[in-house]
Amino acid sequence: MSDAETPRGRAANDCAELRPLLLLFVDGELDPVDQPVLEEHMAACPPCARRANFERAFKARLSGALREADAVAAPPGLERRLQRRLRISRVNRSARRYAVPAACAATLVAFLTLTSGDALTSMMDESVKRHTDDVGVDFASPDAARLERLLSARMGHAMHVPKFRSSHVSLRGARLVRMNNRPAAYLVYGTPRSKISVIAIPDPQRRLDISDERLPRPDGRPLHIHRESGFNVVVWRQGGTVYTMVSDLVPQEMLRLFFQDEPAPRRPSAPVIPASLH
Amino acid sequence: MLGLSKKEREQRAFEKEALTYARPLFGAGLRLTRNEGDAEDLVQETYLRAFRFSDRFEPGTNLKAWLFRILTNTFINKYRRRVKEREILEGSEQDTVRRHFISPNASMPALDPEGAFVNQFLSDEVAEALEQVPVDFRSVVLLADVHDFSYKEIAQMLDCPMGTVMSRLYRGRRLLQEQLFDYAVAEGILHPERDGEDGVTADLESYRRRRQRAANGGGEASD
Repeated sequence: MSDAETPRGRAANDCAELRPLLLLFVDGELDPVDQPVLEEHMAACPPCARRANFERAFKARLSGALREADAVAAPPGLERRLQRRLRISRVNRSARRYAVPAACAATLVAFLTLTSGDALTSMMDESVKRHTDDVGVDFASPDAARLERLLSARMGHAMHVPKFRSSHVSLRGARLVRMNNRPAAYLVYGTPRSKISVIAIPDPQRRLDISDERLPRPDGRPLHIHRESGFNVVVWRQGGTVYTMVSDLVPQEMLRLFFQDEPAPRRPSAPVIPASLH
Repeated sequence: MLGLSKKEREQRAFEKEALTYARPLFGAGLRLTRNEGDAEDLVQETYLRAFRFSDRFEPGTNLKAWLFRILTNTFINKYRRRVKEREILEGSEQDTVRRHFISPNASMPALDPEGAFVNQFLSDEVAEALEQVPVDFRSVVLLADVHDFSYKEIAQMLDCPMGTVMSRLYRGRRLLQEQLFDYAVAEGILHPERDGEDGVTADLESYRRRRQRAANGGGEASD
């Protein structure tokens, strides 16, 4: 009587034959048709049942462990570096794509996609972070003039608090923060559904480079709109101060608010926004 | 968005969603290349390609799988040879193959049916052990067990038959289990001599007997 015909031998044969099914079972790829066959075998064969349990537990732990390890594996700034690299390649692509179309459209696309160096990128990142962190204000006040006095005294720099003259936007207050390793004022404005964050960074020596030679400057002031982590960020300089503005408003709205801010000495007269988009 | 065509807007949405997979992609890149710099280059290149060929992505299908496919392809075309050479140089290929031959895997579930010994390891130790598994097996284990891709998806990514995926997965897991198991025994987490009736000791002995027989010049001697 050969080994294969004894009950023990048959079971061993089954084990070898059903081994691939066991693997499929553990990975959730087993055909429902084969399910009863395997289940029946496992009920009669403790070693195979143990094997299946073991493989399943092992797979789960391996997956958990590697995910844990991966969660901390990514070096800081990975996403930022990626985005920067990808922006550069996108600009190159846009440049090719928009080489021919109307100058106006090309100008606008450049406005929306171009950014310059590291200072600008980290400024935008940090602004978005402040915007989403949602910590309160040190000075709660709707009075821009009062906040200007307070901030100017605390910061030793003549601070200007932008006044958006839209009835939907109201000043809530200010908080002292640090941006790019320099003191700055974080201003919070409320809108009916969300908020707007403006960060004013004193830079009398004009050390912060937010310029970009490739950008058109209709009024001599660089202005950037950029989409960062789901928010729109506007960056501009006014006198000795650099401003960033973050909100989830659409860019048209952001631009409209921006150009409503009063003391801009020279308003852009060139058609920055095509009439069709108003 | 202002001034952007519909196509441009779709592209932006696509890019934004794609970027949410940066971390898993980096993790996989790191396990494959075993080098942070290479991993970041690999991820960057994956995105550059993905964005350049975004029109080849069919909306509604699995974006993560598509990105992993690009990552794996890029890895195979550019890094695999380098990584493989390094592994052969370091001896991890031979080591694991030898270990596979020595330790009979049947002892593990018998000794530890719940696979609980794996819980004794820190995540980093498990990751490190996986990195010791030769790259062809490692990549399949990584895709199936860590990133939950189906055999079919993996077969497409690696451009190989499903049978190959299954055998590499099976073998890769085995190698990893043995690696960790040996380590667990060495660290005193498992005690095969004490706990295992049909455990490692017995199997090592039969292995030695086999070796002895082979050394004596043939298989005819019996116990």
